[in-house]
Amino acid sequence: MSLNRRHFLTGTAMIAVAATLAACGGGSSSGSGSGTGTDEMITADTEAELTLAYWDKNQTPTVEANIASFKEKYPNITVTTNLTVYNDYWTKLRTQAEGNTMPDVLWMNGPNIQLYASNGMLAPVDGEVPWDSYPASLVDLYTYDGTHYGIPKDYDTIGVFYNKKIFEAAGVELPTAGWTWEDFHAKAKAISDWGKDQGIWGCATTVNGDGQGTYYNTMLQAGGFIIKDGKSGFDDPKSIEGLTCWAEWIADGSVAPPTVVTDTKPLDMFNNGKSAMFWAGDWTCPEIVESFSGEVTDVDVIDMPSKAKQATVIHGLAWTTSSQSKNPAAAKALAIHMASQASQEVEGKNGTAIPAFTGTQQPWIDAYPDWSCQIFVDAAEKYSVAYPVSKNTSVWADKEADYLNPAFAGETDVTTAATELAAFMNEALAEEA
Amino acid sequence: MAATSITAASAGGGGRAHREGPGRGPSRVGAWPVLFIGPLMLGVAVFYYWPIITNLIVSTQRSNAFGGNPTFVGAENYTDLLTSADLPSAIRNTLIYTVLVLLGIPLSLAIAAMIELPGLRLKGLYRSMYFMPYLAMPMAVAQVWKIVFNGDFGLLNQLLKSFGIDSPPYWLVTPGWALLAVAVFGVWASIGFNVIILSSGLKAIPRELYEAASIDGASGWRQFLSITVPLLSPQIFFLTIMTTIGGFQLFDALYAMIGRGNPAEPHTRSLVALFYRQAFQNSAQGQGAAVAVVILLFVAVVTLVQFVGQKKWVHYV
Repeated sequence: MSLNRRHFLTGTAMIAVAATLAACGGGSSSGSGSGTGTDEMITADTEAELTLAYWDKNQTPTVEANIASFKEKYPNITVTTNLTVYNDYWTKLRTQAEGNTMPDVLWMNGPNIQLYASNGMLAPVDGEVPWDSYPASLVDLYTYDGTHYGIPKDYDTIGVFYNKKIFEAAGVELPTAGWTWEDFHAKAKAISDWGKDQGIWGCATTVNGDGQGTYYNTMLQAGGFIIKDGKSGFDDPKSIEGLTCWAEWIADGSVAPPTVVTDTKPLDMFNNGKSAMFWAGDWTCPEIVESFSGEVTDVDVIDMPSKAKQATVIHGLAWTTSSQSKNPAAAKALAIHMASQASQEVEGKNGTAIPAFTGTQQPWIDAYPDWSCQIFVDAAEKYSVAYPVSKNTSVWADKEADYLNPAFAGETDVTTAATELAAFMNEALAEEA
Repeated sequence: MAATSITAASAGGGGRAHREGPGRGPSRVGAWPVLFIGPLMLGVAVFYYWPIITNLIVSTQRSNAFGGNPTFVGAENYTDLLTSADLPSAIRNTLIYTVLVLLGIPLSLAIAAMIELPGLRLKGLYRSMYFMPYLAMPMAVAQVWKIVFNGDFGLLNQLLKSFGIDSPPYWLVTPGWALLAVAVFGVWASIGFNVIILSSGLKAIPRELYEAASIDGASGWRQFLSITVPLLSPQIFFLTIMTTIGGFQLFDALYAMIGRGNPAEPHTRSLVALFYRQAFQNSAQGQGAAVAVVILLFVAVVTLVQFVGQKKWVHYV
């Protein structure tokens, strides 16, 4: 955490320097003193045509509403939206980037930010943005080389969803705040032993290559790390502890192995009463509400158990602008508007994602009155660690499953697998530099 | 048949040229074919050959993730590829898959032979029944097969359990079984097309040959081996070529049925999947282009070998 703060501070310091230099460059600062920085460059009469790209159709009402409020300020700027499903979004964006036809304003995620920023595809955010009002680890995620490239729009942290009915039936006490790995293991084991004949697992979760939902968190909780100063953390003894636990839990049947959760999604298993616990991000909430086979009140969510400390990875999307934009000033104004407090309040009310702007989260929490969704927000504020990324994240992130699946399934040794993965990752990271 | 129509066309052209006087014919015809074929050739050049040439160029370059700042690196992408462990396993998986789907041809032949048995009623119905799956969208059908192969509640395992097999494998997630399961889907998806091609070939075989053979006392099996198979060899050859090329291009079934994070994924990753991984996931376009060239060479060499080999076993009537 301290590391993130430090990065964040360096980032802000550099931004301050950059802003000063920009101010010296002669841009007029007359008029709206506390408005957004780019307001100075465009006026209510500015004419421009912008395209805006995003991937989640559930968020269309929010996007449309915020564009409408933008148009009230700048009636002569037209905004065309491009909705592309997530899997095709990146393929399409890559093609557009190569063809110099990127959308002006677009959603960006952690694994891709540095790839686009380091290759000059994104414009730095040099307007006035209240960076202190967003979670620092998230601001950090979208800072590359000391420059801000994206404004946080929403965030997600991880918790443990549990099915109270299964706990009751198995005669196991519900998890309580401040529980530890040992507590989690004991409960999961007891339920698995009880439910074996009915195909019910104590815990089924995305151990098949999804670090964000599972092993990234335990690596951090054990005191390890995933990536630091361009080096892999997978061979750190504490990180290995955070990987070994999964192999052990899977070996004695407490947690479903990678094969089982690949064949049937853990979310489906949880929704159909085939697993008592499910480690997942807050983005899962709407899907559980929609598809859970029992009463929604049978479900609740709690912090992940802790080991050496409490920790969760935090990830979130950001609004960014393309460096290829023909109307950079208008594009920046739109991005700043879409990430502003007012826009994120709309986001929270619509209940699709936790808005990133501090103080706008309550409406989202209220959207799930039966659950302790406050934990997701508390986790973000108290002990979240930025989602691990590098310049070309997918090169090593996509390889994790190759090494870890066999290790978690007990086919290879965890320490050996982790060491090999670290070696591969270090080589990939060296190539980025 | 194609050969006949070409002969007829050129004979017609030749006839007219003859009336104009020998020797002057070709020059009279001269510009017209170029005018008609020209636009098409241009299209072929732009949309078929230019990408291949570009790919060859890209495979000798290293660029940033978006193809910018390309620098010439010679054969480096190829040497990297050849020394990595990914290539041998991708080649192995591709070959295993291709051999497995080739087994679909004898199966299709058996089905086609049964459909075309003399005296069988409702031939049209059977033909359409076997052809119908070919019209279905592969990605959608793959989702259905994914459910069939599911380890816990899949149709296949329920069936096996009812036969007393207590713990059948998790087909699509177990290394070893997964490629076989994908190949079963591949065979299933190709049967419709194969059967139609083979059926049409079967219908062209003169009945008298079978009559003569049975008078000579040949059994049904003997007739099949000595008359049906040799006379169907052009169709079988065609299907072998098409299936092999299709097998080398294995990708969509893997994308739909195996997916990322699957423990069996490294054991099913084909050449095209490796290409996709390098070019689109790892932002190593030069490497991806090099894989594409390897695939091209592979297909070219194997097809050439098949064409050379056909002289020994393919009989054109």
